[in-house]
Amino acid sequence: MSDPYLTLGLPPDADDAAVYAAYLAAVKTCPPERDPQRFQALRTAYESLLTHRARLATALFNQEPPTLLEVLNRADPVGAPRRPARALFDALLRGGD
Amino acid sequence: MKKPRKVGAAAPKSPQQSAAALLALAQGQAAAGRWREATASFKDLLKIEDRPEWRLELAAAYAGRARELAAKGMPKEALTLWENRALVAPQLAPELDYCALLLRQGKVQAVLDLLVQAGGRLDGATLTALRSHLAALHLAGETAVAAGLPADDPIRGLGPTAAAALDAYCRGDDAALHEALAAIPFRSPYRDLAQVLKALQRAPAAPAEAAALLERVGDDSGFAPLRRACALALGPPETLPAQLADAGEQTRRFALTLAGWGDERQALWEETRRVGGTGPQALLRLLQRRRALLGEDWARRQALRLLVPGFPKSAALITEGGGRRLSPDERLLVTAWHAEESRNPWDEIEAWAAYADHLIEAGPGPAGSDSALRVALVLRRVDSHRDLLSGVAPSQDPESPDRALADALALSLTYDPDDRDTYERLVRYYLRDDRLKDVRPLLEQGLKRFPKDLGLLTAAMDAALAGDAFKKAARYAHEILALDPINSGARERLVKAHLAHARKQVRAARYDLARKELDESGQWDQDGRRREQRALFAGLLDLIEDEPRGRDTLRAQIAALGGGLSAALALSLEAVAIGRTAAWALKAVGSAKPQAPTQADLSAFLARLRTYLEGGEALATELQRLFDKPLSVAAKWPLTLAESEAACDTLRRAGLTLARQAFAVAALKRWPRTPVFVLHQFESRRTGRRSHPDRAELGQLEDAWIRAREAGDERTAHRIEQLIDQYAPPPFFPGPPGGFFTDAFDDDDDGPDPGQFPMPPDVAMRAIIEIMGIDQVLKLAGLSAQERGEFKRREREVGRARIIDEVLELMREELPDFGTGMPPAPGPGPRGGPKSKRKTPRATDTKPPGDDDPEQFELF
Repeated sequence: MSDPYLTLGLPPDADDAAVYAAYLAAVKTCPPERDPQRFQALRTAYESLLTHRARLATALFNQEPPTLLEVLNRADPVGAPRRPARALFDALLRGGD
Repeated sequence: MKKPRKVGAAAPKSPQQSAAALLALAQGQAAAGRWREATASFKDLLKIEDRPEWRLELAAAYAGRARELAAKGMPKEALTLWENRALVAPQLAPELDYCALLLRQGKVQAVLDLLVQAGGRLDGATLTALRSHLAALHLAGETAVAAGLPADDPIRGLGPTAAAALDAYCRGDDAALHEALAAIPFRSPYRDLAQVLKALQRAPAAPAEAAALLERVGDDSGFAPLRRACALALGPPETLPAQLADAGEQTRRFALTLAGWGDERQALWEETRRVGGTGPQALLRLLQRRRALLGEDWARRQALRLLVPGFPKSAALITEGGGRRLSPDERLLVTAWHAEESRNPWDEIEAWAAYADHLIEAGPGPAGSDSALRVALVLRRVDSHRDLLSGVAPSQDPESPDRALADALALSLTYDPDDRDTYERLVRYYLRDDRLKDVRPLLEQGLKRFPKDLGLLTAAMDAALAGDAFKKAARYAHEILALDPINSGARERLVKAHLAHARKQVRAARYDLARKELDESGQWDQDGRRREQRALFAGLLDLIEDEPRGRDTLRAQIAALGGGLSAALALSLEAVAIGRTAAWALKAVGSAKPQAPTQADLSAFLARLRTYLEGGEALATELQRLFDKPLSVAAKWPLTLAESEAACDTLRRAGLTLARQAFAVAALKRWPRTPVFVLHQFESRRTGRRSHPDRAELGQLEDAWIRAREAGDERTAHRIEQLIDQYAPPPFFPGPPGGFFTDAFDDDDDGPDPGQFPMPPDVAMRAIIEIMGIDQVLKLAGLSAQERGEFKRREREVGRARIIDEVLELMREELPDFGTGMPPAPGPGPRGGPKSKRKTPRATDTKPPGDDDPEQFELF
């Protein structure tokens, strides 16, 4: 996890309340029993942003390099599933790979 | 031009080659999937004789090779082989793979013709699958399908319904989708489409159900590419990019769109695919190229993190990728990040200190501001990262890492005085060495900010106790209990604090105040753990103030405690604690001379003594003298091995040497050569003696060491090892690094490297003799006065230089290793074996070194 803000979908100026709200919302959609790994990532991100002091410390000391997925998430986060256009269906129906 | 055949790859050319052998070869190649060689072999076979069954086998080989080529992305070549198959065995029905390949090449009419010509020969499953391919193409708008099929063909008839379902899905009209799907019968060529669309419809709410629906679509279906793309999109999002790495563009676009990837995200990912790799360099370039999209600051910060592993060399990557050079701030920060990977804490301490200095120079702002907080966090970083101050006492060396970190933490409070953890951490650290001068200002500052903090109040109480400020300690304990009434630790400390204060008052002859403190302690001692102690204390106070009354009180209490040695110990401990002698107290109760205990009394005594020692107290010398002898008599009691071991250990901690020796000896009689008792016996015998142990004692110790090792008792083995090292001969010759004993663990080691001696041993010994004098060396070597006199007489005769030669010669004879530069035998050790005997200086002379001769060194 190189960027806990991305994990929780928060802007860099998020305050304590925003962090807590984002964590609660994320946990609701991803409870520990459904996806323990994802839950742990959320928990770690939450703890690293819990207080103002923690957020400053994260900015100073977090040296985890970014992954490609995180760069992509930063550029354009994954949204809700989209229904592909008919043309995309047709391409696969023609046997496209 | 015909492709030259590989030498030895196909059938042998010899005319003598029998058809049977060739057939076996060809079938073997086919069975191994070596289709190209198999086709050649079967063709050769058919040249020998054109048999129908061999034609079929050649046809199978063509089919295998065609599939191979299609999988390699060579559809045209694959089609040629399929056509060859049809030529060599026209009676065979066309295979689905052939038809699918034709359709992918746009040769719809060819497939329709095949369907007319050979449809009757196709099995049901193949026909269904082939019709699903045609249905998929028809749905995708391939007009040739409709043109080649009769109007009543279900592919044409149900086409509009399937299209309606697909369109409804695409525009998000679930009701219309539901209606259209209901109109597609189970046996329709669009059945697989219906399964896929149902899966997509249910995926958000029921992913498992969706996956099960997708699994119903077979790999040979015309809708299989669609199913594959859907399955990928509905799988774990983290693995989607990896899963799509080898997929075609259509599949990628479809799956990513379905998975919720926006156009920008897809474009960025496609860009990374094109440049290849997601390693640090590729990511650095991507961050640099797309920094406007990603945000300048964010992209820069991530780029810095990518530099850490190879820093400082990696710093060049950022400029190579088009980024600007590292600023001083960035360089110091990445240096510190990089230093965190070092095993040496100083690397990290210095790197973060440099960054802190940089931040301070830039002006940290007022305490509590973000910039000041940053300085504080940086100053605390190494400690929070390495946890170096936990459980350690301040080192004596002011240049040690823990001292540097403690200084950094203290400085951090200047910039961030509101971090309570830092106060408590530092206070605990300094308290471990009773450095109250360092503790007090920290507590003052911390409690000013956090007056109700239990951790700080507890630390303050501990500090007060450490400084014998019992009144203050009691005050803190009261505050703690007011905040946390069930804090048993604080309650116990408070009772102890009142008792300690009471004792202090007795020593100051303020008996009234002592009683007051004693009463206070009783009020807090709710569980009565200190009742016995308080009662004895009160009795002793009575004895001081009113001897007859005190005597009666104490006698009654001693009787209540069961009398005996255990009760005497309890009374003695209290008497010593208030500054009186145990003899005074014991005399008052008529037990001036403690008697040997019964076995039950012995157990009670040892338990009481153990509890006392565990409180961190040492047994007073008076009590050691008082109890050592009567306890020695108690060694006769039949204890178990565990009880004996525990008794020896307790007696060791209490400094009751005689008793310890008696218990060890008694235990060795019952369990001979038991290492732990050999150790206790040896140590108790050596206590207070300056002389060197004799060979027999060291031999026993060495034997015990071996037995302890064999029994896996590493603790005892280690303690014995330390003793052997302690009693190793004085280092006339330099030993190997780490002491002689350390080599004993190295089975492969034949001894220390002669090269490590600073000078040849002959020269070294000559120098020693010159410095010490011949007589002194001979004396140390154990020669008698008479023998030494003989050497003096010889010296007068032959001269000093010659006599030194003779002394050296004597040593060479007595020390086989001397001439080779090896050190003398180091005393007992595994290398010599447990029974090895060290040479005495001369075979004929003096008695072996022993306790009787305190001057005796074991030179050899």
